[in-house]
Amino acid sequence: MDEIVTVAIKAAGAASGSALALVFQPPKNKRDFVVRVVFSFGVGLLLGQTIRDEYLHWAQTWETMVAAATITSMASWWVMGAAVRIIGAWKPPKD
Amino acid sequence: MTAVDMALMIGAAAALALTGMNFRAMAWVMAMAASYAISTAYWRIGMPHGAVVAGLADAAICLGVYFFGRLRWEMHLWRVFQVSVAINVIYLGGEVGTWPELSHNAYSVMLEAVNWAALALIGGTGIAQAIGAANDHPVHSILRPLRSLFRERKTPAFTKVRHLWTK
Repeated sequence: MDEIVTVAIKAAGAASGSALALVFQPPKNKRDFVVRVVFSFGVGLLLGQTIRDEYLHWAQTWETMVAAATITSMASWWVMGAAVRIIGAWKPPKD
Repeated sequence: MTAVDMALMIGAAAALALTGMNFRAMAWVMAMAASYAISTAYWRIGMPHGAVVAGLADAAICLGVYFFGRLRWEMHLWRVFQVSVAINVIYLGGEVGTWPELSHNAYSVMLEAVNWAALALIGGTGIAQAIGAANDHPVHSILRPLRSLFRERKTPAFTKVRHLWTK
């Protein structure tokens, strides 16, 4: 039961991070939107707790869990956007 | 109702009167008023983390303006609401102990300032439209700098961009 609650808290944080990132940096098109939402939600869900415990060293409360998942999710949204832009700008050399 | 609430209500009514039957501008003022009423009511009944509700309401308006706004002045309004969402996030982060807490007074003053900035933008745009800044008539050349407010936004919402999935 505790695990379900923990996952729900992380999912809430990751979802709010994706939503916040959408507010501040909307994607260019629908494909970009889907890619970024899937990536940022997944990263927030999977790495939020690790980021909090290993790097941020925040108190271990459910609020900081949500905050860490939110921040991780937002950061990954921006990272994904930058990566897509860099890959899009890069042209492979001609044969 | 406090004096601050009353002043903001009068400001919203004035901005509404200045919109000149511009339905989207009226919608944004109404949405702002609803957001303020919901977040203030939630705060005053003593529920925890009031900034969550305020932030969600402002984020909803922000997305509404982004998806349905057509002109450049609406994109300025979108930026104003982004600031409001950012203030709520910063306050909330301090409240849950992730960084030093912002005082409630500073938070309230900043949100009030953002609300007044949004009302001034909507009302000011309404005035500019009423005196003819949106027209191309040479008599109104003095208002030319304001004309860009009434041009189409540069970047459309991402839902309106056509893109092939198999590019």
